[in-house]
This record gives sequence, structure tokens and C-alpha cells, in this order.
Amino acid sequence: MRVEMRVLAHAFNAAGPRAWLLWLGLALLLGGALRVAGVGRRWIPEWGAVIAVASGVALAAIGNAHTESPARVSRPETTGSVRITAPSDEATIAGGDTAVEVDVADFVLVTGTSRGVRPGYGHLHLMVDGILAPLSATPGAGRHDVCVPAGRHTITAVLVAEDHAGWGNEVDVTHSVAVTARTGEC
Amino acid sequence: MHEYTIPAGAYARTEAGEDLGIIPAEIEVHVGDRMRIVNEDETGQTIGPYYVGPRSTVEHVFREAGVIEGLCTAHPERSIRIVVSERPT
Repeated sequence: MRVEMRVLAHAFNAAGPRAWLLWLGLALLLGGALRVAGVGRRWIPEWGAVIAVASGVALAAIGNAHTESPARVSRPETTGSVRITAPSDEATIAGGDTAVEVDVADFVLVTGTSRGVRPGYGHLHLMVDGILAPLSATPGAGRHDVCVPAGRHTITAVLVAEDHAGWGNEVDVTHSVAVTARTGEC
Repeated sequence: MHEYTIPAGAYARTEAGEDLGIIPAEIEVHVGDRMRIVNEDETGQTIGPYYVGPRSTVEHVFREAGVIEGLCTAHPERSIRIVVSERPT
């Protein structure tokens, strides 16, 4: 019995608060149906059964309408870490072609693109203000020449999956530094 | 301004084969035009030359003419082409 209650509680939590309407509606429907079948005659009058069934149908319909949503598929999480070691955060740099050094650990950088997603495998994306920098032939850790135009910018390194989409724990595999470039045109 | 919004849950739906029509597979812009991509999804997406993290926005002004081709995780075909031409005088 304890196990059944746990399963029920899990189902309630997983479905969200709107699902309570659905569950309540189904409970009222069941109660009304039992009364019609002759159970609970001592406590529930005939009109009580009618109200229970009607309320149950209404609440179940409302609850069902609110809980139906497109299936959400969570992205898997990955191991790995990434860190921009140069330039440092809040550095003032010359601008233009800039050496950006990246450390990657516990993550295998691959060359091909695949729809199969394997935690721990993928690509390094290096960006200036969200715009991908063309990386050198070997998309690995180490030094990359990235063009940084004059002004204040954010350089971000992120580990993405083999399909080039982010991971469920993207915040754990992202590192950004803010820099100010004195000159430079890209 | 060329603005596109990736809605929440978009990546999972695209993975399931749905073409949400979020962003055209080919976009024609002019030098000086601004592109803005808002990602309301929980999954970071690669859209050609941009990587838009979860619940993030990327903005870009096209500085020179040319053709940018790249991978796009917002399309079932996984590709995007941006044609940047000089603004007609």
C-alpha cells in the first residue's frame, strides 16, 4: 500500500498542479459511479451522485485540457569542463586577431557531426558575442586566433554535443570572459 | 531587423521531425542589416554562424557581402544559408 501511495504521489507531482483537476474529476466520477451502483447509499443521496458525476466530467475535462502539452524531451547532461585561460576576464586587449587559449578536460572533442548524442563527446564552440569563431583545423583545446573588434565583448567557450546543440547542463560546460579591445576591425 | 524567436521546446520538436518554421532555410539580407535570434528554449542551438545558448539572445550586424552556409539545429534538414548582398542604392 505504501508503494502504491508513493507511485500515486509521484504521478501527481510529475503531472503538475493542473493535473489535480483531472485527478479530482476522476475521483468524483468514480464516487458518483459507485453511488449509482449502489455503494454508499447510506451517506450519499441520489442527487449527490448526479452532482458528483457532472462535476467529475467537468473537472476531468478542464484538467485534461491543461495537462496536454507537447512531450518535453530533456537534453542529456555531460561530463567535461572548459575554461578560457587567456585573455583573462575583464582584460583590456589590443583587439583584432586575438589569441584565445582554451582548456578542455574530461571531454572528447570530435570532428564529425552526428545526430547521436554521447555524453562526454562533442565539439568546442568559441564565440565572440554569440558569433561563432572559425576554429583552426583541429577543433581542440589550446590556442585559437579569434578576431575581436574594438569595444567591449564577451568571449565564450562552450562544449556542445555531436549534433551541435547544447547539453542539459550547459552552464557547467560554458566559460565566458569579458574583454575590452582598444582597436580592431573584424 | 531580421528577428527570429526559437520557442521553448523547439529542439525536442525539431528532433521529432517537426518543421516549426522558426527560421527560413535561406535568408537574404543586406549589408548593414541586423539579425536578432532569441532562444526561449532550454537547449542551446547552433544557427549557422551563431550559437544561441538557452534563454539567450544573439544580435549581429552584417558588415560585408557574401554567402554564409552552416549547420542549423533549428531545421530538420540541419542547414541554413544566409545571402548577404550590398544594399541597393
